[in-house]
Amino acid sequence: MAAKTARCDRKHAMPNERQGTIRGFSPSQHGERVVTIEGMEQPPPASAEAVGAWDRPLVVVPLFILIAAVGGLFDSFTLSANLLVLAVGGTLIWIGMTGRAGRKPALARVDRQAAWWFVPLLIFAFVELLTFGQKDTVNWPTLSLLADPVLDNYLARSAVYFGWLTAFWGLIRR
Amino acid sequence: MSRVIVIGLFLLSALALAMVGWMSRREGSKIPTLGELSGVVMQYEVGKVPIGRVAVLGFWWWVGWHFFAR
Repeated sequence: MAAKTARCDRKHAMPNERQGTIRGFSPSQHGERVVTIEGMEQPPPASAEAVGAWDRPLVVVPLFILIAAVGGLFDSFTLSANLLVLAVGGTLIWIGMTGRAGRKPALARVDRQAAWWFVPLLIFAFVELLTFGQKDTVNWPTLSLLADPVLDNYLARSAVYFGWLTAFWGLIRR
Repeated sequence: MSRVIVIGLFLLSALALAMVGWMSRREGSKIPTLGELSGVVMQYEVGKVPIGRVAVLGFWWWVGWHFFAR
């Protein structure tokens, strides 16, 4: 932000400095103003500690509750459900890709013990692939088919929606 | 019968997820939390393209669409 607003009088500009120049009268009529934008390094994404006014639980949690409460109203395969997921997900992806939310410092590398995470992943992948390949969806249901009757309930759907949003928020802050 | 086994296996994977999550949060654990692991994966870049970040966020977006909209 400071890079985009930094201004100085032309007489103070360094000769070798890369500058983007905006010619015109300054508000005080004292001459040209020189703006340096591209010559300065862009700031890194904000850290989790340097959060903005909107980027905190007091703002985000009520907003997610509201979105989840609305999202729970929409049945699957409806235009409203698609539009809401695409809009909310798209916005969160945009925030996550542009680094507008604070980010927690990441580990440089992980210990070999991280392989423990493969245990639940492999069990889940095995069952999902096994059931996905079967034609008999009653006796071999995928997780989606098992979840559908649960998600037909408004409260359950809203709660899972809220969980999805919260996890999404946790990911974009990484 | 197979339906019960399938549900049991899904529950087993959920239980394993909870167990590893608990193990990762113990004092002095060398197992990273799921969030820390996601952070490491999201750092992966090919050139200047943040492939890891795109993949993880894109996958989670798809999960939401799959369960709530499809």
